[in-house]
Amino acid sequence: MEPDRLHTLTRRVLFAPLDETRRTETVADRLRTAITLGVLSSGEQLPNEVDLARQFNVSPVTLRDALQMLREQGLVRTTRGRQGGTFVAPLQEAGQRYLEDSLRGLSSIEIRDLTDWACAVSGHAAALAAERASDHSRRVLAEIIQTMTTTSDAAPFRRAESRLLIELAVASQSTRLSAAAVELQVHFAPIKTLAYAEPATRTLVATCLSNAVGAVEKNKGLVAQQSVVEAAAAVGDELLTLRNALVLATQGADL
Amino acid sequence: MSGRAAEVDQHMVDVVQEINLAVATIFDQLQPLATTTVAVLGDHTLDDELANALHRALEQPCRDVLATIDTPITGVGFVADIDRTGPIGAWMLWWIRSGAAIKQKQHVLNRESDSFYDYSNAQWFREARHGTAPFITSPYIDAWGTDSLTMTASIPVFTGGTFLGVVAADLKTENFCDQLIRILQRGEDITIVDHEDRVIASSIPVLTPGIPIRGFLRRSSQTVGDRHPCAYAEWSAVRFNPSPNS
Repeated sequence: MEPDRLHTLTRRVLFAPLDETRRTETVADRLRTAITLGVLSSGEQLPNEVDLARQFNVSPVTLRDALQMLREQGLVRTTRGRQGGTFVAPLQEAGQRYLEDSLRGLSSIEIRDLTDWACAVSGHAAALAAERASDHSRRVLAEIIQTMTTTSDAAPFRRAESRLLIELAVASQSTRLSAAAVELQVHFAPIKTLAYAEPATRTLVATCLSNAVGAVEKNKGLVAQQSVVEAAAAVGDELLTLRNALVLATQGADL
Repeated sequence: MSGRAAEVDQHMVDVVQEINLAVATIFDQLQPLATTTVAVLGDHTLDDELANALHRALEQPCRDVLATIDTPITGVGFVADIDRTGPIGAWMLWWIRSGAAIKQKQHVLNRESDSFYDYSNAQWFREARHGTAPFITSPYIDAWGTDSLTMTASIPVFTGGTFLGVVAADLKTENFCDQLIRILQRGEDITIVDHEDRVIASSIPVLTPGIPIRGFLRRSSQTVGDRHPCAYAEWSAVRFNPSPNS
């Protein structure tokens, strides 16, 4: 498989120059997503502040503020001295807390809307992939399914699933669907890790996506679409249930 | 079903009462605006002078409604009956909250425009006009107004037997429904649905506001059990039972 191509595509979206206001928030969001997606891996040193600021097209002050937000959330840590710099903190606890905060911060309607959008993008990508996928794409898809069915952890499962959904869009030969699939991965994929902590959800999604890839192999567009939509809907339901539990726990703590 | 429906339990009755109260709180904020509108307009046909007078009279109270802490209301104002506005045509006075600021919103009220906001066909206008009672819509995408998932509460404005228009408020669905969901979460599972069994709010997380319950019933092999009517817009509170043939 070709992780580098996806890697690069994701990097390009995450590190695209910014020209909007709310820059600090946006820079922090991008870096946070890069960390939770594993594009910046645990322990990795971030580029120096001047270079990173230039890449985002923001002032060094804006970048410093964004890094400060990430430090407060425990996602990065900065050391001083000759060997100093800003490093990605070990993801486990800080990452889990950040993901739970993100999920709690979404309304149930937003989760449904994201799920609907994911179904539209990935579902139609799968339908087109069944007609248009190259032999190379089919091979890549089969390899990713192999990874998904053998992994027993939420994070690598989610990474493989993201790759599969992007590869399906790539196989559809549609640039807009591919861009939408990458964008979805950047903004929606991190919290999916929470849903995949549940082994039953992983099994269901792996089965559905395996059916989808099988259908792409046999040029059955409608089946491919249905299977992808079924997987996305299952994840959406699991996220709604988890969010509800998190909100109830918070309310309980308030009383 | 008739036998079971008769034995609605006290918990259901209590929940419905609280839901009614939450909705009534919205209408209570609209009622003074309607009273002011009647006092200014009387039964005269709207002209520029009256329009300016109403603008002056409604601006501060509308701003106050929007400035209320934690209110789900994002927009509020008076919308005139098109038949009574004479040469002015469609006319409304509307204020919205946008971030921390409150400002007047101008809708496109020119019939020749593609983006003409034809409110006389909007459900919140028609239902208040013909039902003559307070009305609240289910969540809908307000493509000509707020562009987002909205609920609109409206009350008709009459002077004597003459219909002047409606006073209405847009609610941010997430905020208002969350308020209702918190009421529902205090006991066993109850879902509030509208007249066509679409979800308004539910303690069951996958039943998000706006979707019909039939897909959920099919997937989970359940049927509607107890049903208890709410006070407004033909909403009801329902419980689900396992399907007899599952």
